[in-house]
Amino acid sequence: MQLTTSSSQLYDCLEIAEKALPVRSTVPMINSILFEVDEKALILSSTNLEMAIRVKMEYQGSERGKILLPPKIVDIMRYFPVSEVNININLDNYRIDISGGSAHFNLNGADAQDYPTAAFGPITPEASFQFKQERFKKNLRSVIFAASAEETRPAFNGILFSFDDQKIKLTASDTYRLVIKEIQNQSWSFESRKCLVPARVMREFLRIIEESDREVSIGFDSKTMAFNFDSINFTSRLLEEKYPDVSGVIPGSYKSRIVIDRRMFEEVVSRAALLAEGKNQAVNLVLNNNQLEAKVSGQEGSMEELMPVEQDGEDINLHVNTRFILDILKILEEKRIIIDFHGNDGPLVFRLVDDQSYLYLVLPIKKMN
Amino acid sequence: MNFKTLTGQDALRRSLTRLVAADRLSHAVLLTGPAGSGKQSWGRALARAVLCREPAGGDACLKCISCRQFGSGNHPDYFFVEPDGRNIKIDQVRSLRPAFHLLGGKKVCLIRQAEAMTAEASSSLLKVLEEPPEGLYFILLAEQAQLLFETILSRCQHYHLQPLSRTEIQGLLMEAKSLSSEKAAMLARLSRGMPGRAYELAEDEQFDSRFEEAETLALSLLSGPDSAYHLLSKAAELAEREDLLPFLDLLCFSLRDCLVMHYCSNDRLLIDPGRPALRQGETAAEGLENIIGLINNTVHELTATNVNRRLLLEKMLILMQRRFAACRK
Repeated sequence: MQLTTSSSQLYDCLEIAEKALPVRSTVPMINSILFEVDEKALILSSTNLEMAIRVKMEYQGSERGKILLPPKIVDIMRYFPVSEVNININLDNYRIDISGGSAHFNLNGADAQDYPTAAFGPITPEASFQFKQERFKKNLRSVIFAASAEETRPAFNGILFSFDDQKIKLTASDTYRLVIKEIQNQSWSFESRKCLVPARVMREFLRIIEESDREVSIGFDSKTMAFNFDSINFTSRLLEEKYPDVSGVIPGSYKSRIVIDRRMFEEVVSRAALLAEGKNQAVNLVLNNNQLEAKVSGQEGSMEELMPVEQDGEDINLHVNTRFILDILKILEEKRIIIDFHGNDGPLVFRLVDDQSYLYLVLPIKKMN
Repeated sequence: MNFKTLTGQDALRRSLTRLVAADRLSHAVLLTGPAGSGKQSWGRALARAVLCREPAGGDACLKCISCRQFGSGNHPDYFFVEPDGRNIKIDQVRSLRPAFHLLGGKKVCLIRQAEAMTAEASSSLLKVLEEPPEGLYFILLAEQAQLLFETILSRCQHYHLQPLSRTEIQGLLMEAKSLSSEKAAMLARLSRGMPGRAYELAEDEQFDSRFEEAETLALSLLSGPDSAYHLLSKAAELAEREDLLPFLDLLCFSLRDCLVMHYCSNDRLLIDPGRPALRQGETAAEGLENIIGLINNTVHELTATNVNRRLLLEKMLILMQRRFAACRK
């Protein structure tokens, strides 16, 4: 099997496919990249069994076949001397000749017959929908940070996609905080359905998808969710969905509400975080007389800083993890945001001023003495 | 390997194939048996049957893509855990847990030497066993089930591997290792019904010479008192042996043959009927029993304690000689 293609383009595709390669796997075969040639395209695939990536690209040649390439191929293409590469694959002994300019590589491949392709996406999706890539990326970024990285409760390692009629609701939580984003579109009509997608996979996805106004098409079946964009097919296996019902966690009415300048709040909390200590990295927030005070006092020293706010409701005095506040403030772009308090032991709920579709809930830290 | 190609264990084969065929296998199966009894072969055959796409009568077909992937060590839904060093550590169990909860087809996790799990690893495994994700099967292999957590044991379907008959092992050895019928029969008698042990003996190139040496030593001890210098140098030589334990084992077997001849003079019960040298019945049976006990004690002390090997062997040889002398009187 012989083909010619652009080395830089091949490298770009390999670099994407590389993202799904396992760090180290006990399944030897998936440590390689699947290299397939059909009449229309050259397809590079990889999987770590949790996610799978397929990238298509053009080539010149006419033969068909498939082989497993060692991951070294990525670096070989990165440092390839000329822009055109000739690849010659012997499917009888799995030897691969790569040549261009004065360089000549000879690699050992492997038989691709039993490569686990089952991970590659729904063949017939149950439902599908489209997004502008940049918009989907933004929505995903606004929830993904709250998903848990600890493996004690598997459900919280995922982002819950709840489909219902014209709505998609994204939920993520690590039991200390919860974020919900609702997206509505008149053209959708989903059957009620939930998919739990591993957050770890979605983080990789965010690294690949660009902030372009091209479309991404998303489809799912009972076991996988697939994202098709540009020439890339990105698939994630779903987690067994045992997500707790979180609707009861969100309190109905607030005891006090403030409207605060987001940038100012972020800067103050960043400064407070400098002295915040321990596992909880707590800052003491005191609301009183249209002023919010951030206070930290620890072994290294103490700080306090006042911020003007618009207060509606009772005074508040509680402790919150600074990281939990900074996570959300960094992501938002709004000038001013709303924070609802529910007493000194109740949760804080961050909301947007004129957008009901998003909320972020944080539990305060139990009073320390 | 599938169930069909494995030897013996008919009851186990019947119940496992029936459960797999009816898709009613417990989500956790525990296979126990002594070292070399075939736990891993049976565990792998069970895993393969569970994962097989086209199982026939509850057994793996060996032809479908799943069976091929399994055979080449590439099955994406087969997880294998074994001790990393002395123990199975919590990180080994924990690192698998994300994969357990992914939706997909059936998954099998085989844990070898499950009793080597640390308490933390056991707790982590227990967490999964308590609320098993659908389609996930655990196969635990253990020599000593009582070392597992009670809470893990109670969640497993427990099967015990039976020793194979001599003829079964003899057949196995003749087929797989192409041994002569006599040699296979002798190894079968030495294997205590454990196919793994029989294979080990068959693959051991030094077996024949070791057997010879053990018999020579037994003969020289039997034939009369040796000088102390000789005994001590013999002990030093033994202490240097890397294969000391199998050697002592064979020494025991040589003396056992003597004992058998004493009691019943029946060739069929001998391990190695081809060597009549040990049959001269000069020593009393009680003495032989006593000496076999002595060797067994030495083996136990060698494996269980951190004793000085040379001193221990000197003691053993001196005592053996004394007892031989005593029972000759």
